[in-house]
Amino acid sequence: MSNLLLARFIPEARELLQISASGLLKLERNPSDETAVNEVFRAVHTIKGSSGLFDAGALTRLVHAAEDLLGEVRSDALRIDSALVDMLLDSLDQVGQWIDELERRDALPADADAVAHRMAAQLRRRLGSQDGEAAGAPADGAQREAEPAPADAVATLPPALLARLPASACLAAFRRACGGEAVHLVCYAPEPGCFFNGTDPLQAIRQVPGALALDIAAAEPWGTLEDLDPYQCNLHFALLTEAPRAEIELAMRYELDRTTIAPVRPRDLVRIAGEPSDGPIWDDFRETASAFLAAGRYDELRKAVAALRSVAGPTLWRRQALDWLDAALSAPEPDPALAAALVAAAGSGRLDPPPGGPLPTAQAPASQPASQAADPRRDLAHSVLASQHRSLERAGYDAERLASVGTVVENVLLSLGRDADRAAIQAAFAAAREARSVAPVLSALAAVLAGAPLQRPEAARALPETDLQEFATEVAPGPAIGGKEPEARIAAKSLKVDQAKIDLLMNLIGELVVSKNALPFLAKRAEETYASREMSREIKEQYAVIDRLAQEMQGTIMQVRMLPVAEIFDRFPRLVRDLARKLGKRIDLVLEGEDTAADKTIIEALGDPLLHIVRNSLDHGIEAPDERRAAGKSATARILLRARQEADSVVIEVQDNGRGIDPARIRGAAVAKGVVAQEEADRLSDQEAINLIYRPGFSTAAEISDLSGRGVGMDVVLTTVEKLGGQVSVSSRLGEGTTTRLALPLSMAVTRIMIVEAAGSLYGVPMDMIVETVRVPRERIRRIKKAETFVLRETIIPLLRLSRLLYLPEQPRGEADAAVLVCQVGGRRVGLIIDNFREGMDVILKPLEGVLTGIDGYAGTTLLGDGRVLLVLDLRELL
Amino acid sequence: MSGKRILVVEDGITMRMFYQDVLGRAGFVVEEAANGVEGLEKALLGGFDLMIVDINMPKMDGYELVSRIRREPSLQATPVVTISTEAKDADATRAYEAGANFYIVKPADPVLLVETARLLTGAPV
Repeated sequence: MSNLLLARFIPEARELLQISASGLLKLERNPSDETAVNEVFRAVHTIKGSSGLFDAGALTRLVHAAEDLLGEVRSDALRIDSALVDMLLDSLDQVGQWIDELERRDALPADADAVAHRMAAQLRRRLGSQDGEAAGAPADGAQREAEPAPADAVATLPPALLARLPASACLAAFRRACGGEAVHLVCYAPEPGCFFNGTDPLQAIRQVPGALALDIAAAEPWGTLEDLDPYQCNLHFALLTEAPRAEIELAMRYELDRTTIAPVRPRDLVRIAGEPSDGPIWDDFRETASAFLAAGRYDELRKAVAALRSVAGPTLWRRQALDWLDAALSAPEPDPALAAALVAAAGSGRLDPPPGGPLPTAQAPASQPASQAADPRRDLAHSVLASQHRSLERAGYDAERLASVGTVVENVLLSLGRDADRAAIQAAFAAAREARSVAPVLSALAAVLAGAPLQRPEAARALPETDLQEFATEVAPGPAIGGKEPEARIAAKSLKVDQAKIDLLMNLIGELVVSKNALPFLAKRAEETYASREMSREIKEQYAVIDRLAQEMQGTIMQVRMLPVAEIFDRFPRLVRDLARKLGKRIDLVLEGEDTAADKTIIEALGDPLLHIVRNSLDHGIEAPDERRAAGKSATARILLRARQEADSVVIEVQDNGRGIDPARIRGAAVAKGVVAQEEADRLSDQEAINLIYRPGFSTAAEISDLSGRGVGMDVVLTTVEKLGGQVSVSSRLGEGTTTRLALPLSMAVTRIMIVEAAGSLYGVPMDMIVETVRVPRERIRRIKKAETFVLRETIIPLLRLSRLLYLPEQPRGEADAAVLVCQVGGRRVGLIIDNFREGMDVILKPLEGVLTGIDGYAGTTLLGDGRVLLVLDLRELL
Repeated sequence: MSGKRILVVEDGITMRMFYQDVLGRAGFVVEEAANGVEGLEKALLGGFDLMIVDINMPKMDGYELVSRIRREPSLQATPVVTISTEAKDADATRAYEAGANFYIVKPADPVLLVETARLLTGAPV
């Protein structure tokens, strides 16, 4: 369909998948939670419904299997258990991946059919097999074989695929299929990288015995020559074979997961092409053949067919229909419906869909006379009227029902321009109301249904009488009718905007905020250079207006960029569940404050640190159920993920009630790993000991588990959070649990910096690193060996000279005081001696570009109001 | 441009967009409701020539909605098409019994959908 529709579907599907996943988790905890079952069922159902609009059959099929399973759960026929939840979650994950793929390439991957087939089969195995599960593999295989012509597998057949196979091969296959022998279509989508593992896909598919026709096509459209990778297999194989399924499976046993095997029904194979023709000979044939058919006199029918075949030109459409009819009749017991359809085809020059499934009708020659061409509108009208007839007949007299039926029948006739019939129908309805009986309407409707223009063509009457009920259900699939695909047009109510555009707008507003800073400089110049105080005042007034607008714009765009923390929190229920199951622990995860919002950059960057903390908690913090019971705690542990806003920051806490951190163990481990010396470790307070976990290379786990990463520990968390301008702290009580607290700025688009002077230049220092500014009299600076220090409120603070750190020549200064910037870097305080403090300002930081990117020590650059570039220091790198 | 008004009651956003698109293009005025309750409320405000009702919906499903519509004197004469992914006879029968006038299986072919809407609203070809 259209891209816009797909663009709408993708977010919808993702949201529904999320709903389903969290619903399944709820359901696992409480299998009798009816609300959750309904929620999951409906979400999955909606995905299935919407996915049908796109060319994503595999996805629809997998979702359908999941839906069927959930339907059983809903009706209490199937009890939900963890294994089932696992299976369903896996399927939803697969669907999620396909959604990503659809977004990237507008198409499912080549192996989607095979994967869907495998996963759907797995799901369906749980359907209605509650007690048959133990039967084991052989029964399982038999069951698969016996599946009543798996509706699924038949549906997988892309009709286009069959249409590509040569007609002669199809006819041969058709002959076999009519004779009751199995014909299978084997679709094989080799892995793109198969050449590298020694697979020869052509050789593989050739191993399948009984081949009737082989089609090889590009799995993806070939790209341009430059993009072509000859080492990637971009082929898709389709093989029509008379081999039984078991033999196909044996031949393809190494590639089974990339192969779909579908039985082919005879009617799927029928393809007729050729020139139109007419004449009494065909009419005669139709009459006699229909009579033979009705009487079951197949021998005579065969003779009639043979006689006509010998005289009719082989290029004619009708003559080809006879070839197929001949094949159909070659079976000892021909399928009457199929034979009837083909007799009708040869007789009328077009192919009608037989009951039970649509035949490819598109092959009817385009030059058919208009009166004979299928008219979907007429058939549809017939179906609609038949439905009204049927429902009235069933319901009996019912004034309520009569009302809408009346509207429908009148509208249909009005739409068809059949005014005479309308009058008759109106009279019938009036009579019905008077007599309080539906009889007058029923007979009038029957008359209309039987009337000439609405009547189905004569040829179709040879078909076995179709239950009226079937009309309704037959209508929808009709793939061959029309074929015009409308492009989508959205009635826009809310806008979905590409993130990149927001980012661009954001940058532009940032530039504006910075460039408006030039106005005060201009005002100063007006006053000082041009001695125009008035002009200076006016500029300042204008500046105030622009400043306010710029601030507002900035505030607004910030709001646009705000995301709720739910974006990251939502992953955790699933993750915690999976990990807990793996570790054999029982955990109750509680989420609080998911609505708390923060800038998108923060939210996105927060995922990994948070993941790490939660994993740590699960892996090291939470005890096994037995251990917990022994300690007098409940067997189920609790992890609380809580977010809230505190002034300008968003605070996220991860709290567990596990065993807590043992400072003694930390000390021991830190000494053993050489992180600190024994004496230093002994001096540390318990809290300081706990803080050792932030040191690089520290990990208390006796063995590295596959959960909490390898070698990367809390130091990574600390680095990430500090890079975002945030802080981490851990508090823990032995035996009671641990709380990790992350505090992050609400937004990081604007950085508050302080401008400082050093070695005659200006530099920016991010404000969040600065603890305070002090002027220290020279005589209070002490030298310990070569290092300088000073004492600030009874704490010794090491001093460093910024100019030396930047390798700049020091200018001797005669001032009595040194300007010291006290900074907090990596949990330690450091004093930076600079030349002078200047003002603070809000800036948009731009990262260093080009060859400058390799230079350490700078967080980025920004523009000053007078147009100069200011380098902003990254103290963490510098120190 | 027929200007006939259709109320689509469907919980899937994508499906709603599909109807809006296909039927809107054919000249119908399409209004949307996201569940049965909302559908009934909008329907009662009146003025629709046709309702297209999804079966599986939250709050109030399609069967329930159709039978409520039929109990409302002001809506009894409004044609209702139910639409569902289920192709089973039982589902269609249930919809007809609730009072639907026609039953379509999803995904609906756009051409057939428009044709059905035209026939049921009496719109010219």
